[in-house]
Amino acid sequence: MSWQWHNWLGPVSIVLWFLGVLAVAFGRRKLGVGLIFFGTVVTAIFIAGLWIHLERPPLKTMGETRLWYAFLLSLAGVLAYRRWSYLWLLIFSATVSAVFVIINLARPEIHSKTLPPALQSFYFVPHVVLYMLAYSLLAAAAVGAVMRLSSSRDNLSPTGLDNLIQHAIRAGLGLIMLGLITGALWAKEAWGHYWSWDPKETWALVTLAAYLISLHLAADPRKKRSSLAMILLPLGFLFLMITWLGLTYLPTAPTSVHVY
Amino acid sequence: MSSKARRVWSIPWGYRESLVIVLAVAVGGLVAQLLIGPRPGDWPSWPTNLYILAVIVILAAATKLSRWSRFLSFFYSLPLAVALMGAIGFLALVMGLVPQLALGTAPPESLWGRLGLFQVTSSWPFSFLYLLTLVALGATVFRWPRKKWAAFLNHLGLWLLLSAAGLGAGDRERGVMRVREGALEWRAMTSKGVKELDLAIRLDDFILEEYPARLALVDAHSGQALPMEKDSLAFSIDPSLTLSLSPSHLGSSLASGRIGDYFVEVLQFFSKAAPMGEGKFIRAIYQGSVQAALVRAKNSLSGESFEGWLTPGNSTFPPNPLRLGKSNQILAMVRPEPRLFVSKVKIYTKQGQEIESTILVNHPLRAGSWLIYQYDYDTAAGQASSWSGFELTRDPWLDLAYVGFILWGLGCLGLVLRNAKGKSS
Repeated sequence: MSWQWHNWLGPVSIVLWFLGVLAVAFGRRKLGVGLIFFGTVVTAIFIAGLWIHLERPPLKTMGETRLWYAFLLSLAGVLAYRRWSYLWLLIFSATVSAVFVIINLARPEIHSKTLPPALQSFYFVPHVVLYMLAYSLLAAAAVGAVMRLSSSRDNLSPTGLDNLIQHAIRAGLGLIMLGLITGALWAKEAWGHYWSWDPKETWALVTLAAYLISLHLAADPRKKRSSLAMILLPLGFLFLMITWLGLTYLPTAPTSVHVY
Repeated sequence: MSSKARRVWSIPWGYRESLVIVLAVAVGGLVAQLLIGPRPGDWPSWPTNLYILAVIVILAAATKLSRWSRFLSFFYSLPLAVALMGAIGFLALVMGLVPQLALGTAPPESLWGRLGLFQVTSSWPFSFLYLLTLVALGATVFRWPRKKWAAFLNHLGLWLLLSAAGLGAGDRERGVMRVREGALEWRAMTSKGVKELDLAIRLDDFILEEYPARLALVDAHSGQALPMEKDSLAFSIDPSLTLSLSPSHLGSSLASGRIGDYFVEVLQFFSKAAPMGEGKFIRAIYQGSVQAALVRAKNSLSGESFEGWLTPGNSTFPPNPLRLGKSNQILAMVRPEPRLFVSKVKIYTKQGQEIESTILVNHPLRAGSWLIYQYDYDTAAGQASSWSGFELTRDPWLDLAYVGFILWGLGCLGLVLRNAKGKSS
């Protein structure tokens, strides 16, 4: 299944997600969740097909990682709905997934089979997938934090929302640190040292610091309702996006081996 | 002292005191930086770093002693942890925005240069904050309730890792060695010049395998290609695979695709070839051979058709593009990307050990206390490269770092899994 298939399967996912959100909006919740999940499955099938076609994991280019993000985020939305019945998260994740697929449709990159020797590693797949999974959860935490900050205390059952945020940030942070560890072990195999202060690594540390501060503030009983802990979640997500997408545009980018 | 100030500094210290202390440590670092210059790259090294580690462990363990615990509880308090993470996050932000100079290069003579802005990791403020972090993490490890094992492993693993990474930095050695085929080499280029090592490498063979080269349209005037820019990748095809256009397009060709206004078919392809005159190529397997493809390009607007052999060229043969009539564009084969490069080597150590093995990217070889990495080769010569470059690293603290990584990783798994079960508060 080559990238050309995306011109057909991409729109199919988008339409399914869109119809799903519409169905949910009109009160047909079960149908809506089903449609959204179906869109996720279509994306997963394309990823699997592309993997087989390329004979390498489709995780190399930006377009390929966007594909994973669309898949994992929409999946996280469906799972969180099943677990905690968060409609807003379901709608948000389906919408963002659709946006990422639209970006991929608008910016087709040829997906060649070449995989440079440095990427031919056991750590390649877990490293990227862990990060994509973490991005999805931390995106949810960031949106939850913004809602938390903008809502008055009584709305939206704050304790439930707080629970979701804490769950998302703990699991997201655990995954992001596992991504960092696999990256460091890989770097030791490929480049000779596990931490070289490459700008990508440095920004990963900035991101990690923001989330760790938030988590530690939330763990302090005296600061339980700290708004700084909440503000740090969208800020941390901004750092995350700089690490992932924005690094190319920074003055430190030329010294990075991570720019692609 | 006013009564308010006393209230602020009354034990246990909170966020305000933590912030003041962390800032004071940073300012102390800046003063040290101005007085004695940056921290030397090889300080602290063995055994000084061991003594420092011992002091940190003693300080951390002392939090267990009841007599001192009231004061020392500050080290494992949440406020100090938050303030330290804020300070280190801020320094990382500076490093992420201001391009950093390699250690060993002289910073600019400006005030910012002297304050260590361009070499943050060897500045004293960073070093002091790092040490304080080690003390705080250590104290947390000693005081942590074992029941919360996931968080305990997170702190313990990170503590061991940061100790090995930071305090061990002065003991790390790194060198780069170039070995010619058939030759024996024992000298490596290090940050302190050429150094004789306690091992020697003989290069028996260097093998480079390449991906099939891709085709691209090139502007004949500028020579500047539409080729390898990100967007123009869309103009290239990979001759080894059948692009999935409709099968009717294919006929007898190996691969076909659209590049700009041209429909391009690859009629023949050799991964190892040599020219035999009149612009033709034959299959030829020997060192210095080159990729070549017979290609037909048909302009879909004018209907004109062009056919010819293409090669990306190497250090022996010049590139051979296809002129597309009178247009400004030529069809060229882009320099192929390496798929695999391997060195067959024999290692001799001073202890008399002899190791015969292969080294490739992502698969370093352990020889004595050294790790040997495939580093580079003569990229201009490509397959005909007569030498191979190796990177050698030695890190006596590596095992401790790995223990840290493993414990930290287990802690992270715990964080994710406990959470998935909905157990955490």
